[in-house]
Amino acid sequence: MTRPELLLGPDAAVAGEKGLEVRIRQPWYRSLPLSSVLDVAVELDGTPVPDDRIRLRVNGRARRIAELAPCWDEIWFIQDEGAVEIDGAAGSPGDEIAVAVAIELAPTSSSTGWGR
Amino acid sequence: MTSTPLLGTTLYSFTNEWVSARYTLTELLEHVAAAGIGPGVELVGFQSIRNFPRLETAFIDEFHETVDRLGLVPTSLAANIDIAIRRDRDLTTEERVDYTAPQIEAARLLGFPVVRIQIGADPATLERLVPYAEKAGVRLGMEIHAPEGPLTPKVEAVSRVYDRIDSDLLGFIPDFSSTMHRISAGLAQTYLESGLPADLLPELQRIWAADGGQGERLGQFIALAESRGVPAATASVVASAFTMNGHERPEDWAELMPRIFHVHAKFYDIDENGEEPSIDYFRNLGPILEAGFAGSISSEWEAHSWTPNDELDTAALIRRQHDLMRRVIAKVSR
Repeated sequence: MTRPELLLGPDAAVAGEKGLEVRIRQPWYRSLPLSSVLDVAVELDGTPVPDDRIRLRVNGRARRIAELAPCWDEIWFIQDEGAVEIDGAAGSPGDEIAVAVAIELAPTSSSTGWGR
Repeated sequence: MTSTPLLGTTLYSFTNEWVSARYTLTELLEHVAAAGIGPGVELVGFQSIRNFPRLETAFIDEFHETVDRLGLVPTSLAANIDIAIRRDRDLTTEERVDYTAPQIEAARLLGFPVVRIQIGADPATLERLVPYAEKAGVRLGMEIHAPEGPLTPKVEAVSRVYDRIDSDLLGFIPDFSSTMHRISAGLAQTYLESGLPADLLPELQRIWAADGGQGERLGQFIALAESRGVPAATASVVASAFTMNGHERPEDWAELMPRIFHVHAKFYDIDENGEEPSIDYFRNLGPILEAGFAGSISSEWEAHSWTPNDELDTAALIRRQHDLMRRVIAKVSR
């Protein structure tokens, strides 16, 4: 429900140490555990980037998306930007790159205890 | 009526400003105070507080100093009962208690008299949380939000469990999203932007307002859209109208007294006449006040979900909504 502009800012793509970094926020209203991040998909200039070249860096630590599943007791604070690290993506300051990022979050609550 | 409720704001109304880090917590509290949309202030622990529910002493001290300096009154701390944080299974009762108890303690440390809990707190968890609430000296208010309403089966089940546990510390927080008389215009507009043909909007409003469960009404709308050549995938964007906007009877909130501990005065817009176009405040708030409610009320503006950041005028809208609530309070007091 959150507006896309809140996920990706105008200067979201930056040249990082290992390649390209895309700064993102959680498109949600509150902090979530890392286990709630089900997927992060990236396209550069229209080409999907394979999962094994993508890491999400939150709280100073970069992890592959599959490594997020057990991290249900580590919170990603809602005001903190995360960085999507894309290994080997060539980029230097001044380059124009079309970046698309899709993040899939899982709900953390449910009302199943009350029947119906 | 001799006593009047305490108006205020939930910082959740400022979600867009907050998630884009326009304010620190202290700065946002200063903004609320300067805008005159307190004195009550509510916050969502997992939104407003880093490392919640673990609180550092310096944070606790700064929060107290800030609300005291600004004349704000902590009203409700919104907790989250996140039973689905694990991928492999839901949290057990024991884990739900362990997850929620520190949030109750955080309310005590920060001076909030009420903790907003959610319907994810099943009966066994609720019963086990009562001693923590007693120890902390806070009350637990279960939020009733669309698609639930004051007298829907799940909420009636909660009331029966409350009767059995028989604790003065267990109550409710009505959210007016449950008791609207039309789909918010801003939400409907997002459907048009997602490709829903405009001529289907009146049909959507009609089916939304009719009888039947939310899934049943959504199914009726999708079938109608398909009969007019609109794919089900396009028509299903309207699902949120049935889950986020409820059409239960507003007067029924009063049935929950005296267990109403706090109110979420949900709103989306205030029109040129000072009314909320989709929520009748006289029918929602009036009966609760007539039933003797004199607790705290948080303005909860939720149109931030579709409002562009450069069009945000959150505090001014809340001031106008406070004016509307003051008119309701004055009418009931006469």
